[in-house]
Amino acid sequence: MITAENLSKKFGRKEVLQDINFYIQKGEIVGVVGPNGAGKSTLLKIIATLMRGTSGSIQVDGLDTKKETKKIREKIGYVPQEIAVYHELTARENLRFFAKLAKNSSEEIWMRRCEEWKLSEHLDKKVKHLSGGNQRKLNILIALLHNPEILILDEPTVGIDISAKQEIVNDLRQLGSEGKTILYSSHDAQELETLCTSFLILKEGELLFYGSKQKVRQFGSVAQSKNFAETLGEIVG
Amino acid sequence: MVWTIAITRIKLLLQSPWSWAGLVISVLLLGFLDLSVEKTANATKIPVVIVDEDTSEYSETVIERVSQNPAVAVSVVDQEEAQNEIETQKAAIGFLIPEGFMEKVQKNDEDELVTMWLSTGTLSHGLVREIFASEVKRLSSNSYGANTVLKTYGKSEKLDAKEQASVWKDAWAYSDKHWKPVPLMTVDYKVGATKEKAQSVEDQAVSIYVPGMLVMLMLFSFLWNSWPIKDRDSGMRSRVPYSVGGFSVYWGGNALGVLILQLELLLLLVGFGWWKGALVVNASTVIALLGYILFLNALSLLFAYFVHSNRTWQAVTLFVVLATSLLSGTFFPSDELSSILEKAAQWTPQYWIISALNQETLMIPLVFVGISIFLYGLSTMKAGDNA
Repeated sequence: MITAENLSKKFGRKEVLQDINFYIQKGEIVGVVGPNGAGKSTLLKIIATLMRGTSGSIQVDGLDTKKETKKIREKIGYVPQEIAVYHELTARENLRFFAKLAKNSSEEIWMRRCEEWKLSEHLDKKVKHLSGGNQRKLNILIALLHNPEILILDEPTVGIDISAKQEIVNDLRQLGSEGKTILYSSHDAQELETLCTSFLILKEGELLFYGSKQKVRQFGSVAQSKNFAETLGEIVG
Repeated sequence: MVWTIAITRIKLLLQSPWSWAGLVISVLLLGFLDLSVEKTANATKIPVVIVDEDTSEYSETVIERVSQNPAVAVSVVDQEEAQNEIETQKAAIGFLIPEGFMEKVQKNDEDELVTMWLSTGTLSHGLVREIFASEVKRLSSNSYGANTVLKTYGKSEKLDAKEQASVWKDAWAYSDKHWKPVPLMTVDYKVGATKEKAQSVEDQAVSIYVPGMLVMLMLFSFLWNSWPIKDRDSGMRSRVPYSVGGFSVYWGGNALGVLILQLELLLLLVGFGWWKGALVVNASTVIALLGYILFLNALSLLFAYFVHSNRTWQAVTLFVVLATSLLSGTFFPSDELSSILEKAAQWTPQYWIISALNQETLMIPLVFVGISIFLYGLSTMKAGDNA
């Protein structure tokens, strides 16, 4: 589904990504993990066609991100770290506005999704009056309006409480069960463990590890007896 | 699609009380300021009293035309009151138009046409005398011209009395229309950014209202076009590329929304100015102002692309609006500045729009439209590349 071949990215002289190679299969939920400055956001933006790599290539469903940007964008939903909605409008007004901007959007589908995600009763509230968790849910829902096959989320649960995080993780698992491929960047090892089926670990721009959850535990010589969060923490450093 | 984005932008902008303030308070504020300046201006005009004993078409024309001169405040009174005002120095100068004034002017008899009274202690006698003399001379010249035409034309054509009157009237009107004061009767003064002669009635329409209106239009164009900065902060720039039409449609739709609000503000300001008599509204004025707001929209949008924080944007807005308004000679003549600043003034949009309003030319608005298209293209391209 997503293939990276010798992907590198430089900002001036600084190499943010170095010779990255991986292949993500359809339906995988991939946790993109790494310390701050590891290149997670840059990698996600390159896959999402919001940025271009300096060398190498990324292919999404066989399409080159540099050449077939428009077609790839129809397949991708991108959730930025910021809550990219109009805070002065209601949740419903936001959904209607972005639905008009999206291709193949159906009000019936997003209304059903709102019910499933327990957002229906808050639709007529201005976004600025919604809880942090509901704002984050709306942020994700808007990225799903054009029914993309791939959902890319850059730290989508920053700054919200544990129960709201849990709800979002459950909602995303439901999306995974619908067959969507999800790339999810986060610092929260617990939610990563709950949600993700495989992991892509970056450190200082290099791909340290890419594999299934089971393989994370076997990776390197890190303490076998520790729990997943501790193992992940040790790998990332 | 573009329309949906434009309407949403208007909705978003009108959520802010500042936008309502822009639409309503700016109009009221300008009206109030104009009224205050008008009062002050009247107080600084030279007080002139005129006694009209002739009460003819000609004497009324002279009084009307002198009254239109922005340098003087004319009162038509009887002789007793006029002399009283001169003695008490309430009026700087007085004129008596005696009976038979019209007949004498028609016969080009300029001897003792008007009696003049001067008060002591004022330095403005020469100026007012010149203004008054200019208007009398104008009528006299018209009559001289008409008499000459009739004398020459009437001989060869053998016109009857009715036809002679018609020819005389036409020749008089023609001469009046083409009246240009000779240098000695010309009083130079400055209106806005350009030098004008004190002959045009339209010139008086340029009051504090018009410069104030130009400042308001610029200020709100910059304030309303801060959306690219907010969008960048909110992550909207990374969401928009996935919409149909992509970034350019989003950019254009938002620019259109701001432009519609600018048009509403313009409509209110022009309507109020026209109602107050502070602005002469005709096709060329409207076209010039439309060109101006289009240019402001494109310019502020391009500026907003380069600015990355709201605080910087506020500083940029304040600087651009204040600097261009002060420099352009919108509020005072630019040739009172140093030669370098005077040259710089010629590069400000206010300078050009004031010139367009004074000259009633379509060339300047067309230049504005041309530059706007270029600026829109540039900002869409630059912002789209970084979306």
